[in-house]
Amino acid sequence: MKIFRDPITQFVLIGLLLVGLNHFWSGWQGEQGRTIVVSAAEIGRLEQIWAGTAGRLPTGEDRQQIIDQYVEEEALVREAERLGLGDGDTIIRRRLAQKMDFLVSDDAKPDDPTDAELKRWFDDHRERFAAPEMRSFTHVYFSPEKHGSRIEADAQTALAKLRSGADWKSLGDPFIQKRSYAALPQREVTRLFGPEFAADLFKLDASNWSEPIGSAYGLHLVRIEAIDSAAQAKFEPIRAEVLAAWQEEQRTEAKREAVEALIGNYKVVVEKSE
Amino acid sequence: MTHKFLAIAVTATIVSGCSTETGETTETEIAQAQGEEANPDRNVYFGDLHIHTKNSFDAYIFNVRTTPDDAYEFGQGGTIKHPLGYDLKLEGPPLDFMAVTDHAAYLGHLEAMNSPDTKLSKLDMAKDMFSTDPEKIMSAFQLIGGAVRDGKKMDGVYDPAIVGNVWKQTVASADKYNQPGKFTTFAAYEYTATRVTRGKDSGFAGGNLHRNVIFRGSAPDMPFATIDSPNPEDLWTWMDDQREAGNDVMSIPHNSNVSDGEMFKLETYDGQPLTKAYADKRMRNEPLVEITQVKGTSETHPSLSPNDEWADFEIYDKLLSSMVTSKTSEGDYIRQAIANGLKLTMEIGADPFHFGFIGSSDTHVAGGSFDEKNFWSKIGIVDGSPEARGSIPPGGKKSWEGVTVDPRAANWFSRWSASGYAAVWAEQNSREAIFDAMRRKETYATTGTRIKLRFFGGFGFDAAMLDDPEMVSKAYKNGVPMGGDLVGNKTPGFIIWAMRDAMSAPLQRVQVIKVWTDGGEAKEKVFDVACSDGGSPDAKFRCPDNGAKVDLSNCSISSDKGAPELKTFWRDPEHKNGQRASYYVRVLENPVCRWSTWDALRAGVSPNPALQKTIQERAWSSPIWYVPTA
Repeated sequence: MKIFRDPITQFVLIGLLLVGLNHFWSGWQGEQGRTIVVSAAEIGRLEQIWAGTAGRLPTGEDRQQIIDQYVEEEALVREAERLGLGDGDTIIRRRLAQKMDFLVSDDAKPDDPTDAELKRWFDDHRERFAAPEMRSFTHVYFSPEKHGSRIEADAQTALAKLRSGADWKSLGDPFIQKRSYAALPQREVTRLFGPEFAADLFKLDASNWSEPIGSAYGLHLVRIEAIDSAAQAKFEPIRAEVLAAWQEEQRTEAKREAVEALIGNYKVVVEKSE
Repeated sequence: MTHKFLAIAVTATIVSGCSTETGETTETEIAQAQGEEANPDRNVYFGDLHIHTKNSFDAYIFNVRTTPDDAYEFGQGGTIKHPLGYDLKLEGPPLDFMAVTDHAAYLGHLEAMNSPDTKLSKLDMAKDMFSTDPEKIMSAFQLIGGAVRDGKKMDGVYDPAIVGNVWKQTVASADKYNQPGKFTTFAAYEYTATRVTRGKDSGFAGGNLHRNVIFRGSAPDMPFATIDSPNPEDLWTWMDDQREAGNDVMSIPHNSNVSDGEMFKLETYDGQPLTKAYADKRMRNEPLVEITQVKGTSETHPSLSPNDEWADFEIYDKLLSSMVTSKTSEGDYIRQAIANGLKLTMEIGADPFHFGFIGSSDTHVAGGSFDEKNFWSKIGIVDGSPEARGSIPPGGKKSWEGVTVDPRAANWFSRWSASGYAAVWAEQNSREAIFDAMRRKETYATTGTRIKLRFFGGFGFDAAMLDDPEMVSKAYKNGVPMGGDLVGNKTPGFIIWAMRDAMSAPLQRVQVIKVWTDGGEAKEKVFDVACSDGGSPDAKFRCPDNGAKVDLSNCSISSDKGAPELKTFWRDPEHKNGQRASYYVRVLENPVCRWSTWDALRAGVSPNPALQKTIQERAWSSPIWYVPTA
């Protein structure tokens, strides 16, 4: 029929068809959208949260309340979505970005490395797993307030006595903290005596009394009592720890790449503010 | 209020309610078994006894989500997150002891309101609290604040089951992290009484009567909160009962500086005259007072101590969440309270203010901010950035000219401090040893530095003792340490020994602050007793200026000024036989940049002209009282 060849009629008919399709489609979709299923797994999860806050397990009445509340929330959320209330809401945006971030991180999960691969990586990063060196020491203290310009000479005199076997307890000035310390890493010695003293202490040999070394407090003669050297980490005993560190590094790297790739899909225009 | 109060919706965390029971073995035994020998000359331990986590109603709304476990991890040198996302880590070595002290009133309630599926989350108040409308958030928050202050059980809101459950978790967390010989934790909470002194508002404002309640070992099932009574005397009654029941406990008041005259008032809560029974009860329960923390220092005020050139130090005087200035003339400051205590001893035969000193942080982000160089302040998203706390100009401006600082920053946050520590001399690091040292007041306070400070008083002391290697044990044997009463009729002598913190500034001077009464009138005097750089005090008892400077262009300090240690024997040149007096030591470091100056330096702007640019970090010993016989 000629009338169907008329462009205007065609336009109207196609339009009607689309309206009709849309009607059926949204009707079907509406059916799906209007069923709220409260799964057993969801109930279990909600009950756990409830128990965590209340400090007891929910009773039958509580459970009904939990379910009612879930249904209410679900219905409200769906209506809100229908009205587009989430658009432009900062909290929702942030939460979505966070969720996507989790998704990306999840995707970035690395496969397990082979033993050889992991061993090689461990060799390259050995220092990361070493226990720090610890030193035990005794010190004889000289206070600048007391000795003034004679401090170096007085320390040398005491050193001569120590080297010929005098009792260290009888020499030097009283020290407000300890005179013997056991097994301290350099970081802690730094905090107690200052960085110069700590650096010097960790260069000394474990032998006789040292030459005077300076600290934030004055001069000290030091005897190293024990050195627990930085424990060279061995691969086998800490394999699990190494694997965890390897995975962490891979994940961070993969995630960084993934996020960069995502951003790469966008053209970024930064407008200058006036 | 601003968008900063928006709380991020969080998925509920599931917290298990199980706890482990503590055994009956004494910690002294355990500590020894673990290799820390008890030292009869005692060691100094540094700690923080004032820490809030997400379980406090206010911290939660500041977006804090860190837990008591996180607080203890932080104290042991771990890294935790600030609510603004950056890392928090101790500058110094790990702390030796800690107590998490969340507000007991409405403990855990904000998290319950913010968890889907709880009864509380359905309340209008909860919906407002976690809405996106700042005004609604504020008014909901004020409702809770007002109820905490007034001790009101809001119908349908207050739920003792939540308090009990979260308290159980708090105690379990302390038990889990306590390691005798190494790291001590206490079960503790904050009793948050605030007295309405200026007419009631809808919120939290009023005179601060807050106390931290600390248990020596075992703790009861429920804390005693303002909900039970806003009158601290009722708290002490409950604490007496707890002690009877085997739960030894003390409370430590704080922020007397903003109590509007209430903390050390010379009458009871009900307006009755103070009695010996009142004084005894208070001292039984409150042997210590917190002298410094993030919300300022409560030692004294320049208007009360006009002859103390160092009195104008980190003064903070605005009532809680208010722009009203606290009544400073009476009842707010510790030095004045000590003088009043001496007076009361004459009048009623007992001293309700016979206390020792500690400092602590009062952090609300689970980790104390002690370091001027790296300050993160107190209340999470509200003051977690330099701009928010008024140390740099707003809006990225490079100058302070014509800038209006947010009144909250101007009046509150910019006046807050990177402070402080509780220092304790104890035989070893265990609950028993540290708690007992606190009870005998062998404690001192610092503003976040780790100055070591010894202070002894005795009648037979002399200057020759200073070089005696056995000085400490002899001083213990023949005298009393800080916090003690020196009872007798001879002239007291004092041994004072201070050593710098290797990572902070050198020492500038050591002072003794003497407090006494004369004919019923309170008196005080500051004596410099040891000077750095070879100086000695002049006729007015002042050290010469040692010339220590701070270079404000990079915050470096004079490298050749100050002393690593100052040690002296001192006799009171104005001692009068039979005149009761209290003596405490104040140690001053050379000046350093204040945190606000560091913030500005990092941002490349000049420091806020309204603020002090430098401060002198310091330590205060607990007093020694000279108690004449007859």
